[in-house]
Amino acid sequence: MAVMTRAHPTDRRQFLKVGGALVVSIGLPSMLPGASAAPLARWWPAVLPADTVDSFLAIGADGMVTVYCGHVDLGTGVRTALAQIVAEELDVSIGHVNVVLGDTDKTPDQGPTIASDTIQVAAIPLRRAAAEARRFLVARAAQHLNVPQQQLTVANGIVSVRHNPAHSVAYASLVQGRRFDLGLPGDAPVKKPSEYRIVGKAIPRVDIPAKVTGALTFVHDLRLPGMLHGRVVRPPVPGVEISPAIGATLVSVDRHSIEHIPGVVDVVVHGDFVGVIAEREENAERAARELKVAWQPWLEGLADFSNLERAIRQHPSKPRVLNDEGDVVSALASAAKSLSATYVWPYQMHASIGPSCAVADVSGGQCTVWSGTQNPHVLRSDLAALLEVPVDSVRVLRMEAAGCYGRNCADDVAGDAAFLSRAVGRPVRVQLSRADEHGWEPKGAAQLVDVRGGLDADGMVAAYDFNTRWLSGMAEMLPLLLTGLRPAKPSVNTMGDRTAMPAYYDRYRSSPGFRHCRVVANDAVPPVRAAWLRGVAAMPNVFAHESFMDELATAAGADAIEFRLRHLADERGAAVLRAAAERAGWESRPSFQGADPGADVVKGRGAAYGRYIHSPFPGYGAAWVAWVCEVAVNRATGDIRVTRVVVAQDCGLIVNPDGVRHQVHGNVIQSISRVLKEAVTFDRSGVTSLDWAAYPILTFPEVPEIETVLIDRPEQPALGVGEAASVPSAAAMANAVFDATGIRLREVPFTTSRVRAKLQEQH
Amino acid sequence: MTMRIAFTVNGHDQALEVEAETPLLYVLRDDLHLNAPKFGCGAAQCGACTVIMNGRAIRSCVMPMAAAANARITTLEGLGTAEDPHPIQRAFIDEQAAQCGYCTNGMIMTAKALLDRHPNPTEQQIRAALAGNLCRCGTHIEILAAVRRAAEARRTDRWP
Repeated sequence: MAVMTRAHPTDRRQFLKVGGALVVSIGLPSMLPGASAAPLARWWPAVLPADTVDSFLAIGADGMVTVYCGHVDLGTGVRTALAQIVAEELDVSIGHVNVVLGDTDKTPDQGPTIASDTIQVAAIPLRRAAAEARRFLVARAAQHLNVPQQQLTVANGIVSVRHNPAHSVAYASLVQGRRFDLGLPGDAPVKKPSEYRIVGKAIPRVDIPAKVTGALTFVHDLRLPGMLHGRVVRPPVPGVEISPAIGATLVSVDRHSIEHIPGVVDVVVHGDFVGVIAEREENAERAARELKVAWQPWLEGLADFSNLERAIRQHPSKPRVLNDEGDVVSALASAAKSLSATYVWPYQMHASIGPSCAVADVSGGQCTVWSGTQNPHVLRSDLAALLEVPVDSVRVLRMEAAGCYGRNCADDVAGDAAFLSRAVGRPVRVQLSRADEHGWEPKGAAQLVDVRGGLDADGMVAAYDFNTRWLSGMAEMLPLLLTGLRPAKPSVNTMGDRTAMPAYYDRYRSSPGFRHCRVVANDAVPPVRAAWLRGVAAMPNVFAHESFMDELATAAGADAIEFRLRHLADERGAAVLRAAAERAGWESRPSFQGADPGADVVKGRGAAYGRYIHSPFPGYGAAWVAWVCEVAVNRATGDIRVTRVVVAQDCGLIVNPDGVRHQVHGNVIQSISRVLKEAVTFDRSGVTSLDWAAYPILTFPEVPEIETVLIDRPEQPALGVGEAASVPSAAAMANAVFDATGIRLREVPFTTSRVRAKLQEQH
Repeated sequence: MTMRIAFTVNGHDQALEVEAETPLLYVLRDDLHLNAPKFGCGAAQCGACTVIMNGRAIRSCVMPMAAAANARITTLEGLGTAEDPHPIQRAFIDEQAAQCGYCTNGMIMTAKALLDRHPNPTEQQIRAALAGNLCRCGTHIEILAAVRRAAEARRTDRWP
């Protein structure tokens, strides 16, 4: 099933510039994007404009609508949702829409696919483009049919006269493959939600039939004629990207050490970059394993992470005051009761099931890379820097990959493939080993949060003081650092402020106590390679906020949900809390009520609420989510079993209810896994969690019952759902464990040994 | 040292000159161009590479070719196509039981082997059978529903 090289399709950039018939060449997941390896023309602008209808959609002479979106589908089904949005505004059937995602030669640069922003942000110009195109086409049809526009109606891409449906014309014949030449944002009205027939429906995902039958979908499955297999050998400091641990530590490579392996084509060495290329995959793998490489030892070594709280506290960081309202110090001093607590979050992994993979073809002065990246346009620039070539000689085509949930090694391996392909002038496929993916993926950051709070005599919050530290960077493409093209000096990532503001703070509407509110985020250069992982800093921050709210509720002798509602000014937030409580059959009472001393297994329930606030501070919000969860805790073994999770979510307009529900399920299961089981381990050389035995994740027998309440608000804008339901998870579980046992878990993961130790402390 | 190894894949006889220790997975993917079995870990820990060999679900990433000689192997491609899916593939489509879909091959092949042995599995049996198959997207709820639906189909419909 090798890919056939075929005639170069009409170039989209050429189409944009000069018009002419559009050949819709790609889009179906079973078809290969950019199948042609033919050299690309060089005269187009470096970045596709994102301000015209033509940037986002084209209608072919065959009536097929092609949608171009700069975001990509990370396995969430957003490809289908985008098709629904465009099909709706254009009044075509969904079967007539192909969606092209993340091809730097065809799709505009809409930034990386992060922050659950595809539907909330990236889809907006697509929708407007579709509305403009529809208005234009209806006007054309009115001329063509010689009737006033008001008498026309559109269905399935055919414009017809309302009282004489036979009098009609198809979009295809009105467009005849020409460009629209319409600017954006235009003023064409978009449909009212009450008119929706496709948006809001559980349209089946277009990609699933290919995925369940093994059709070509994933970048891992791409085979080009003459393709070789590459593997890389990384320095022996997994996950450490700081000089002098990497950058200039290679001592020697003994090329003779792999002479006995058949079909080895080349060994490529540049700085600390070491790669091997072979005709067959298993031989490339073996060559990478058996190649004798000597490295200078890293004498300084990694800080001791065995006591994470101490390690984070001692790590140099710089405070950034996000909010300092009222007088927190005096308000705490004069509070009737005051509390403080510290919450710890470990380094965690994206843990993609497939290791990252890419195929590159660097030949004839052009570089084409097929990649599972989140950010094709950024990757394109990084590849140009790596190969030291102009950006416009590089093309990145995004193909599907194993779910990434943030920044994994997808970009790194694209660099590896390009670097190796250039060395041999043939296409090279590189797939990372499991150990390299686990070791080098930029981790979800460790985090430490100190919270202080006070209660007044009425049991209301009197002051709130929140201080969060997180150790994350931006994770530059690794080959750029290994080759020495960029210095191995990690940059500071300020995303630690995500959802650092308490949900109960509202400058104008919250209870008076929450107006004595100080919030500080501490930014730091990370000691190990880290970037963003689903929920980013919001998940640890909300673990602290919502655990602490529970501690305050207990101190106030109040029911946990009632206590929250007393302080919450946000009506949509209150609505999800009430909806979750109602579905769960929440009984109003304070926690903890004492446990049967004779029972080994004790049960409890917990709630938490959060809205994922992201992007540069103060940022903006994705969906509102509340959790109620039930746990059974074995006091003898320390084992926590999550038995039931009720999630209520408000994401405004729901584009595809199945898609949204599946994202809730995914967030719930993945976050339970992270909270109960997951922590990356280190020694002085770096990451030691290098396989699934060392980094276990949740398995089928441990998956709870999940009930989802979706609050449908079709008149409200659609908000991101990719991460929102992860955010309240840890606190809901910790609060449920407290309700069952009376112990407060303030460090993730809630392992059996940690729970047992806490239970022993209690006695 | 290469050797000539004959085996049957999806009903077709195959014979290849290959090194004895080459993992079956690489032969299926790189020589026979079958995409469905996936490399996940190379250590039989995740299940993405699962195929059915002589009626049992096995991990092809650690199965040396020498051990696959004369074996009868079925991959996901051998079940059905997008146009004419096997009932178990149909069930996964109907339940929308994939997010990224990288683990899907292993889920379907493991469930197929289970249902061929136990046509009426309990919920606990299904979960136990899939316990060694990792899914990171959290598609477990839909996968379990798909396997239950497939079990129902096995009782009532054509089941090749």
